[in-house]
Amino acid sequence: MSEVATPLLELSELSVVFDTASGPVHALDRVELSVYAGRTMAIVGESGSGKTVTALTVMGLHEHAGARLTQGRVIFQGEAVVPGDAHRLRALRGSAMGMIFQEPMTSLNPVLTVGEQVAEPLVLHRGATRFEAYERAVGALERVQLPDPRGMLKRYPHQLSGGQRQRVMIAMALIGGPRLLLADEPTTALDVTVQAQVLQLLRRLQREDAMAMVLITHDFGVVAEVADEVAVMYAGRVVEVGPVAQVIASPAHPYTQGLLKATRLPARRTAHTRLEEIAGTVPVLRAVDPGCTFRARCPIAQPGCATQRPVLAPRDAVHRVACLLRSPE
Amino acid sequence: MPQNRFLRLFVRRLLQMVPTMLAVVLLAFVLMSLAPGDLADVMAAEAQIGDRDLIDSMRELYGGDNPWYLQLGHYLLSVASFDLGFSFRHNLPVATLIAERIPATLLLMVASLSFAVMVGSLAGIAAARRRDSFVDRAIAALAAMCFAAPNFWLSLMLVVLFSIHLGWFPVAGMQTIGAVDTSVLGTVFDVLHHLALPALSLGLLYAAIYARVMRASMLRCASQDFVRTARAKGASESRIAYRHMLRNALLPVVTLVSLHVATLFAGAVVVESVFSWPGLGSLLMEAVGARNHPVVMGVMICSAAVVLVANLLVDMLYMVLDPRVRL
Amino acid sequence: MTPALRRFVSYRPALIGVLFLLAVVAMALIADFAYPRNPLHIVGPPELWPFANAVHPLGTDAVGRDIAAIIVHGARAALAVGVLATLVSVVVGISIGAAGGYFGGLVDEVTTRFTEVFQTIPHIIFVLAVVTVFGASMTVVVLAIGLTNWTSVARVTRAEYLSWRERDFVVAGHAMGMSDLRIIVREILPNALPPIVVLVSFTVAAAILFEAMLAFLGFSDPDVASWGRLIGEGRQSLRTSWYISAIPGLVIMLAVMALNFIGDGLNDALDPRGRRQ
Repeated sequence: MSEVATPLLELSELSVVFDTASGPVHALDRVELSVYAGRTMAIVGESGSGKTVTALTVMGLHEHAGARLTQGRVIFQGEAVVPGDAHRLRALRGSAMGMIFQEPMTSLNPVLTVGEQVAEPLVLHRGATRFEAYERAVGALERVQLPDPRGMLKRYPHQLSGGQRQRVMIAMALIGGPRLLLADEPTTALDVTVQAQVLQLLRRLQREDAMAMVLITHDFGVVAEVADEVAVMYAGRVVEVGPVAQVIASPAHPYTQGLLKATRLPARRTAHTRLEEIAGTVPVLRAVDPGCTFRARCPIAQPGCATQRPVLAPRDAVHRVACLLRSPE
Repeated sequence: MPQNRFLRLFVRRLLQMVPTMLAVVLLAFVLMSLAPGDLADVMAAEAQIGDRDLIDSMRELYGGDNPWYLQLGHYLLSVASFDLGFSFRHNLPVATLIAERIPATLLLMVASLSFAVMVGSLAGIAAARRRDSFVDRAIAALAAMCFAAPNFWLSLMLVVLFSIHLGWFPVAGMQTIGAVDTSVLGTVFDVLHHLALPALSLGLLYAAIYARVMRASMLRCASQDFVRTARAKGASESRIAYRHMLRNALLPVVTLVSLHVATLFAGAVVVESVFSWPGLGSLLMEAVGARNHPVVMGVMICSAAVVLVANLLVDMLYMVLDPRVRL
Repeated sequence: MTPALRRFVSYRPALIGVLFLLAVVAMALIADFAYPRNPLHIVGPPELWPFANAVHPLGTDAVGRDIAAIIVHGARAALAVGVLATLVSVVVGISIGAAGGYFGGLVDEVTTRFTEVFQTIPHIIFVLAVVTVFGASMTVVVLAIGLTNWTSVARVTRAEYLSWRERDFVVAGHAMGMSDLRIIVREILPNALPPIVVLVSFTVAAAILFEAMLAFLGFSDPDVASWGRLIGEGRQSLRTSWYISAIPGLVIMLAVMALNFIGDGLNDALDPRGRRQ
């Protein structure tokens, strides 16, 4: 029997709350997740499900977004980083952990050159001189297949297209040689034609560097293309997690099923099936829900779903689901 | 290519300046014409010439008999060739007088502005980083006072505190009369020593404005996406503030500086008067008192030119700071 | 209470500003009752410090005039010049701004250039030039200050008219055959007023500062009690009796602060989207 590999990243009972003017909003409620080196874990769900907050919390950036941790931990490379020493986290960000964001238009500093921004992680973490850092930046820009990398160093973000900017972001996130890359909807704001290219680029780079990647998306199509594992999130909770092929072929949670029905996936040969929307929207939780958060929109909800909180229970060795009616008793 | 961007702005601005300067000269001419008595009378009163024949020949010489459009044309031409008339009181061409005095005023303006931008920006950054704290409120209160206080009064209060009671700075003038150390370095320090209070009293008002603007600008910057990206790279908060946010946040301040050059000049006039600073301001005050029209109008035209050139320089600076801009 | 008024009242500095301004107005009104004699008459020993003598609570100046009397009477000059000059600025500014913003095209070009000229010449230099030519009487001073402070009013008015002239009710007005003047004054102006009203407060503050500056430099009527002039006169005694210059300056600063707070409050009340920091 093979050893159980230790996860590179582990989220345990992670609970995060936003203190808004109208009261607390529970963004994450005891989230459990494990990500392994060399594998891509996709986190999928509609907007408001807590995907981005999860990624921000992993990096320790949740407080800057106005949230606070009420419970749980983030363990990275065996070390508890959140809650943890701020200096330690900062040393990890940009070196061992990298993140790319959704909006390449606004995520790059307009007054600094591409070179300055891409080289910065090396200057911050490896003590590189400007010259060394710039040389390495050329290499990083080459890896993301940007034309004329040397010329690119001196250009400004507003001179680049959306796809080019996203590649710059990727180069910037990878230049420190991270073990973990968090990608928050990296292709959503791009043209359809460019989306596929960027996704393939990410996949290739991930393989080359044997990184772990957490890919956040609302699109199961992207999941099918790039990810190894998928975690489905709803209203701050993980409702299903498992290998991509398996979850897509036999989704267990009603929400997952709904999401899949709303996506056109080539693998499922749904060319003649109508796309169905899930009625309703993701709730904003002002108090911790004692039962299942999905019950208002669930086609198979029972009265018991309101009082008992479903936890992730295994359907088999690798596939887990949090549903009172779908997990084996 | 960057050079082209600046060159194009420069040329375009120079061309735009011409009609504005023409208008200013026209205004000066109109004001002078409205003065009771004509030019020759005024100049004669200046130099205390009583001889009627001499006055008449002066009138002829200066085209006082000519119709107004010829006089205007003559005036325009002379201004264009930097001839701003003659001051009998000083027995010098007005242009020379102004040229002698302008450096002192420019020095004062540059010093005040630099002080205002640096101190104001730092205060604004400090206030933004410690939002709603005691520091923030204290800076806001201080700024409100500096903004409302008349600058000449501020000058006097500063003199009372720093010159009279503490004796740290001189009361007036640009240089110590009969200074012992006449080396270049010694003179420079002497001038700087004298520059301190005038620059402070002129600059505090603007420091207050920039502090407020900078604070708002930094707060706006802080919620921008690229700040989150910088944080995700592991940059420390102070690095983010100074390397990432500052240049972006500074842009509105630079825009304001462009608008402030004119008012700065005005403030300089008063401050120079208080500190007997030998610049255009004191020249102007003296000329107004003596009803020396050529000098007054000459200063007015020159100040307009200085403001336009300074605006151009500040706009070019803006282009350097913000690579997105094509002015 | 309309929402705007409620917003204004909830901004505490603005309330304090209004109170102080009312105090200044009160001073101006009761001046003749509180200090019936000409404040510029000598009434006591010279250079008496404040709080030293109950008869002269703020002390006396270099020649023996009661400073408190001068302050109270000086409120009149300050308010008179401030309000009148602002009136001139507002009338001129609105006229020019409205003309440019409404008619556009060549008219706009000309008015913009015209505005630029007055923005380029430092205000005080223009005022001094006018004073050189016409003398320093109250009328000249009010007109001169009024004729320089109008540029910001014109800018704001122009922007407002540019945006308002495209609206439906303006087009309807044209269709009904209304004259341009009527549209400008009766239709658009009431809508364009809010940002101008905000500016008025700041303009009055600027006018008061300006008048004080001129008085300080000696360009005011010597027979009228003036805060600025007192500061100027106090220069001689700066070493021994600096309070002579300090007190009127402090009053000016507080008055200007009051007006600034009121302006901020108005800004908040009439355009809450903009300012909330």
